Amino acid sequence: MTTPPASLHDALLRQALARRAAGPSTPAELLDDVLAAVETLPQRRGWTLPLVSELRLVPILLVAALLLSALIGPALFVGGRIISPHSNGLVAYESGGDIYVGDLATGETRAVVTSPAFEAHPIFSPDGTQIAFYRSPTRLSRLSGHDDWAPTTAIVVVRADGSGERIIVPAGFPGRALGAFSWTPDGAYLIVNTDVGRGPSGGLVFLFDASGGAEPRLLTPPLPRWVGGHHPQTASEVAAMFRPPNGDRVLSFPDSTLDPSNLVEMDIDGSNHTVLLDPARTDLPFQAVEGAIWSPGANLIALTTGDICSPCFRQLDWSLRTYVMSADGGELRRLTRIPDADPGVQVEERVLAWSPDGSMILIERSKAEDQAPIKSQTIVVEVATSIEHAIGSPTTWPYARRDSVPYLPTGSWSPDGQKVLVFEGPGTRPIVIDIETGASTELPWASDSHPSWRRTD
Amino acid sequence: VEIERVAVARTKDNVLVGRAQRGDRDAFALLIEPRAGQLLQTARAILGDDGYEAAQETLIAAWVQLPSLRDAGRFDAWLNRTLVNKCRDALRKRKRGREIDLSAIEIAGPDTAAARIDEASVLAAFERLSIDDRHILVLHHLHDLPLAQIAVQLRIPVGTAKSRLWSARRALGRALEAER
Repeated sequence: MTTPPASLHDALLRQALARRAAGPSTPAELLDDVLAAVETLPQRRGWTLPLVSELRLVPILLVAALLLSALIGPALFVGGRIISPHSNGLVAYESGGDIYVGDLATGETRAVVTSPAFEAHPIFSPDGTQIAFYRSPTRLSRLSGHDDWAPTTAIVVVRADGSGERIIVPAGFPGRALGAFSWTPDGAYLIVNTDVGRGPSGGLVFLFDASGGAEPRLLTPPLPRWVGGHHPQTASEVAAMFRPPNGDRVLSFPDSTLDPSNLVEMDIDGSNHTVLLDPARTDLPFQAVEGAIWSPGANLIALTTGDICSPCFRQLDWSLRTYVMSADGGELRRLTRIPDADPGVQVEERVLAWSPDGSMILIERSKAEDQAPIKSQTIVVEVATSIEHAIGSPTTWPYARRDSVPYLPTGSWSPDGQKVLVFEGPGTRPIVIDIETGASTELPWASDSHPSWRRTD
Repeated sequence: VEIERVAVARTKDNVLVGRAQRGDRDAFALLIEPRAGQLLQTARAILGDDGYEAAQETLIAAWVQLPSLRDAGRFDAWLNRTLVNKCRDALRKRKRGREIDLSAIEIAGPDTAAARIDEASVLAAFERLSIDDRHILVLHHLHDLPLAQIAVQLRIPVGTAKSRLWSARRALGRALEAER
């Protein structure tokens, strides 16, 4: 996340607000007026659902877990290995404002796109035949990896060998800064988020024909805008909105303080709106959903949501935990097994990606304890059993607070589902980890953004 | 000690919320008394003269709708959200005359902007912001709440609070450019 504009003149703002806030009436007068009104006002009757006790919930969750295991477990492993129909191809990455592809087996690299402009964030299409990326006349800032870019930035698509270049999102369209983008699951469109979190005009999502033929289509509205609340910030989050395999349904989690039904599913024209998770109708300690991702088979949804940990250090009582539920909103269960009572420690999990076969989920878990540096660990969790595997070594950040970390690590699966690629920040060498052996290998080249692995059939 | 103090205060508040939900007006008075000052200041900072009415409507709505609050621990976040909604309603009634597309305006560098910005233009720029943006700026810049406290008050993760504050500050930067 970039530093806010220095021209804000904080002192002037504080002074102006203080002057404006000081009015003729006192808090005591306000209290008098309110309590006088309350004397004659009846309360509106509360609406509640019957409570499900923890004791009743446990067997329900157990049954749900068993059902999930029965449904998807047998398909997960054959001879102890995960089955995936795809193979690993080259890895696209960004270096010095150009796009390269590298061969992990040989370590050889080749430039795919070089131009006087700055190219960034290459993403292979789902079928591996094309690469989309940002192009800007100036170097893009990249503190967090999910900032939105200046209105001079375009999005370009080329074939996997760098030929056939075409501009899909011209610079200046739609007069707004570009946010994160991704491919739809079928590779037919680019989903582009613009002006995220900018009040009523912000958080607009467009669908661009990846062939460059059709006119772009604005999805928000009819889809809800991400105004003020959490919004898809990274390519994986944007991609996760659209249901595989053809992107006909969209997951949305608008600001829960504005809309208590904070995980919904709908057609991309905004119709057939279905509430999947309504915090007001569950006794689980949900707050706002921070991320939700379809499984590759679209039968499950993984989500992270705020959980109350109490007591936590200071007044921070937030932890983000991972849950899994069936795509119809049923069979909700906690996926990860972090002790609830962990005094003084705040735990945050981020779902990075489902494995290609939907059997595992890649999660980044960080722990913050008072003023101690944050420790994060990438883990893989088996969906059917909740068994966790630590991937790679834990990372210790030189920060005591998660929001101070300048770049959140990103992770993705290899197309064959056997390896995990972890990227810890611009200028670093991505790490490839074999999930069976746990062996990790640093790539021989550094990248400035999360690399993208090409799928080959 | 701090954790214990916070825990005790929360427990006490939760008890008061529970009593107020059952129609106990004295409990409601005890609940809102320590909050009225900040609430009034926030409403005034967001709306100016209309702030008093918005604060009043917020607290009255809190009384009427309190039985529907399922989690007593969310009272502050719920009250904040009610206030934001009341402020938004007030703004709609006011029917602002001028609206411009802030997103189309480039932010100039700090050196060029500094000389021409004064308190009046900051306030005018602030008036152009959404209520949500105003609210988080007030919490941070008027009440001096750090991000962690804002997150607690709004019941959002710290990262979200930071993201919202950052967006609001940037919107203000754009609005300042529009005012120049």
